[in-house]
Amino acid sequence: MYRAAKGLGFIAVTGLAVAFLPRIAKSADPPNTTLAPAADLSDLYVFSDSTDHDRVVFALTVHPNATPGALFSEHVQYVIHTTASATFGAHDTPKNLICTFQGAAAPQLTTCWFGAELVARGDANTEAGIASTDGKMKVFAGRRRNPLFFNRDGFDNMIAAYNAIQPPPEMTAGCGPVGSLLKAGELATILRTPNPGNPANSYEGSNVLALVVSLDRTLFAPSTTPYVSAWASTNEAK
Amino acid sequence: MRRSSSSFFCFFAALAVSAGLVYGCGDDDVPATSTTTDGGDAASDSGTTSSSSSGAVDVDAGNDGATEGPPALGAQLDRVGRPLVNLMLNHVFDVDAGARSSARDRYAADSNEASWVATYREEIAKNLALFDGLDTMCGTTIGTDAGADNTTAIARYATLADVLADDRMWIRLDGVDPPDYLAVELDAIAHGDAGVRGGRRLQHDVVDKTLGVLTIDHVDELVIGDGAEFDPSTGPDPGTFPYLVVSP
Repeated sequence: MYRAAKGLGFIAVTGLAVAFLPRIAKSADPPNTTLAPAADLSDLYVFSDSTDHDRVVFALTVHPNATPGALFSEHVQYVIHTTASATFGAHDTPKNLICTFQGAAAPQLTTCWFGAELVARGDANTEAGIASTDGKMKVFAGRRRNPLFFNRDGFDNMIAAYNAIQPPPEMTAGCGPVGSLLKAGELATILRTPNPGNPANSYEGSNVLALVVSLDRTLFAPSTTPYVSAWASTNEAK
Repeated sequence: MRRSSSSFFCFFAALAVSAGLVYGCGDDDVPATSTTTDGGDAASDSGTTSSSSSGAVDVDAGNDGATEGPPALGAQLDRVGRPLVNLMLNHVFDVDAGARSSARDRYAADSNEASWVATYREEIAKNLALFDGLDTMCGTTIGTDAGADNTTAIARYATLADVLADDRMWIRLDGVDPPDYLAVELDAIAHGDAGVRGGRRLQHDVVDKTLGVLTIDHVDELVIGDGAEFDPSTGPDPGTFPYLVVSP
């Protein structure tokens, strides 16, 4: 989506282009839309550290095909929206993890907040990352191998093959394409077949910018709220 | 961004900018080329440090200089929760590329999580119906109500559609290991092992797991999957921060 609110003069002054924040070519999204790469979310990972279950890890990848020198945007907020609740599906009070970046060249200054106060600040592009004063939040931000594995070619080809079926499959008994059993089997085969010469993983060898945040589980409060939900967004910096 | 609406503007932006790239000025059918990042060097008006003319900042200020609270959120540009929901279950079989693109853009910009289920459940159910047949057997998608009125997809697929439309990742901090992708969700709708940790680890095969949930994963001897497997060389180191493998 084209964001025309920022004017030409602004672009001339700031030099670029994140004034435009069009969307969106997520690594697992369609290729027919575009977003400034540094605002383009790829994937969210949420897990407990395998050797320290008292740490909950949120890993957010952005900037598909990040080349050396790629940076997080100064004009974008990187946000992970979390809740802790007693049950699955609840919409309890959210607690946002927000990270911003300053600097048009490396090293960038990373600042992250969890909730209203907890802060880590500094150059997060080191193996040790940066941490809040009490150590309950630890942050890394830098270029990494894209951990996503997905046969995107096969998936796209399957969708194209489905849409090419003539006549279009009818919904039978509430689902389809059961009316064309052979076609259904063929679609499954197409799904797992990469394009000639391509690896099964369409993202093999690609790199992303990764924002990795490790939080002490006590930040999610009491044991009565063990269900933690998370989703991530990029937002225009104000 | 639509080329038709923006090429004129992008052209003059390019004239005004003597160096760097203007993103989003490409053809709609071609992904933006991520050859560099934004080069904006305007000083922030909210931080305790600012960019110099060379773009360098003082990164050694430390937490002591961070006395301000978190910034208010600006307009949402993109979102992600569970992988593949927007790709696989939002207008995926729509032959109108423009409509598909617009629908996915709206999904990505929608920040009102409380309304996601109401907004997207019917669209997701419609696509669940199509995936349900991928294994040649109708009614095998997890959570399908085979006895429901077949005239609408939402009648048969509401259970799973509602879970997926609420596009948040879930993890149980008190859950048991090994963790498994979608474990919390499937437990909640009585289709998984109870109390599993959930979340998404780097090595989880989320594509095959998703396809399995959508279709049930066997067609005679044929397993529904995309054929892409986890490569240990791309990570992770599950016990060592920051987990992801260094880029070459």
